[in-house]
Amino acid sequence: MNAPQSPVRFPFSPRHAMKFGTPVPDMGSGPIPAESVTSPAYFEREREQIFKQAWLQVGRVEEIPNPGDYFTRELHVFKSNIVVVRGKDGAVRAFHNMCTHRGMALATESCGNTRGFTCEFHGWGFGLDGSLQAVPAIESFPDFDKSKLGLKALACDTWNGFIFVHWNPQPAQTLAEFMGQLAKDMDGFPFDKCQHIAHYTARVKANWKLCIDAFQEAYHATYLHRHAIPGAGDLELALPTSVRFYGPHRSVSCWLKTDIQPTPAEAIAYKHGHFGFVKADEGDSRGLNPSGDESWWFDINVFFPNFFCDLGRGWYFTYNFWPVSENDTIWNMNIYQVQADTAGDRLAQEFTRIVLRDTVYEDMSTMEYSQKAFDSGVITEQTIGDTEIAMRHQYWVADEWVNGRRP
Amino acid sequence: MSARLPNAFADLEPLCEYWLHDTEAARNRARISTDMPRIRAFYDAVMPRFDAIIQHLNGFPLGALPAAEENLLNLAFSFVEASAPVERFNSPIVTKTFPPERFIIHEDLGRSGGW
Repeated sequence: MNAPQSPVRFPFSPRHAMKFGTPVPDMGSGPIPAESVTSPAYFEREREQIFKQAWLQVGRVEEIPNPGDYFTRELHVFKSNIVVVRGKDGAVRAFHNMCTHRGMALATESCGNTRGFTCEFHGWGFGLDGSLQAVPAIESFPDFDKSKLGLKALACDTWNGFIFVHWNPQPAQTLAEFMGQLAKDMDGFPFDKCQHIAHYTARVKANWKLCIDAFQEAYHATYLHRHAIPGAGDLELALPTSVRFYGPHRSVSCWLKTDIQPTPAEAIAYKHGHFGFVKADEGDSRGLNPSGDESWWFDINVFFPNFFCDLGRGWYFTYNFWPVSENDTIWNMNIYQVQADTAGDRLAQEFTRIVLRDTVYEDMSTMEYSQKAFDSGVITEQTIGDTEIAMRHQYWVADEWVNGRRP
Repeated sequence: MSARLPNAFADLEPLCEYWLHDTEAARNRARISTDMPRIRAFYDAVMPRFDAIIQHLNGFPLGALPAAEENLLNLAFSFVEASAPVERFNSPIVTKTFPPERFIIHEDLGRSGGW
């Protein structure tokens, strides 16, 4: 990271030497009104001004390796089910999963392989490229123009194997332009050498931004994760070592105690294997720790509005937060690890999976209480500290987008 | 009962009935559906053998484990599950404030449709 260091504009003590790898935008410093997590009207504006204006991650290319492979996703925020399919030409495309005749779903399974999509309602047939190819009794439709009734497309593109879609079939920004420097910083990570080893979901009765907050600051780790992560009960662990802002996106590097002790069972596995959650050989560290922090543990990378891609040595994990309404969110987590060579490696990695899963399980316990508190009107604003600066950035960016500005 | 584990680990055979599963969801279910005495008994039985288990399994190519070794690896994965209640939580479950039935552990890796 060669960007100039910004003057620290928050009153950190010298002991709290949090660094900024990029300039810090002027985001204000007051409490954050609860309205943005409770108001149905605000959520409707987010639906239009944020989710229909941003690139959204919906899957990985490994899910659809062969021509004709497809998966569907229920995207409540679009009020649409979409189908993502690999064409005969190898290209990945995304369509609204609805027949252009009378709206029947074309793919009724969550995934599969097909030569084309045939509607079960009246037999209209579509190619993998979305073109309308067959209409039974076509002569019964007056002035029929097949070329105008192809599947409704979303823009679709990939970055390092991650599939993104955009509501607008011809968005103003390409995916690369949208993801910007944060994606470039991460390009060196060996995503292609990793194996998908876990998939978790939960439906949480809380606003999507409250859900994201639970995962983008480490202040809570000191207390909430004092059982799941040994050594977390040290306030210093709560501090990010460095923070970077990239337009609407942000990246936070987390701190690790250098003398953290593995549990007795972990210690045995680490004797034989590499790449545990809190201990790993140097390995391939490209794309990690862009600020070069000495006590670095892992990077929380948040692509606005709802996709996390957190990187550590030998593993990465992703979150997607899919809003259903202003107080209802579907949380989705996937964990990936560098392919293990031996059972010892595999068992060391198993601690990564289980510790991570137990840790995020603890996170699940908090969000609905926050939502209830704000919904009650008893607590009218969120009071946040400087170590939670990623939250401030999220609410500031969301509000800017809702109001038609795009930092 | 036919032997499910390699001969060198026959002493762990009685543990297979409850703890041997080939998916993460099933192993987690075993953990959160029982009590600390049963988890601790499993942990205490496997912990002294964990090093030997890894050394034994490291003698085989990971992608082509014989059936008994595959079972031993899956039993060791259950041990990782069981080590968390013993070494971290002193409880089978992580927290009572989010019900386990709402936290879905999917097994459809790679071809997931469970968003």
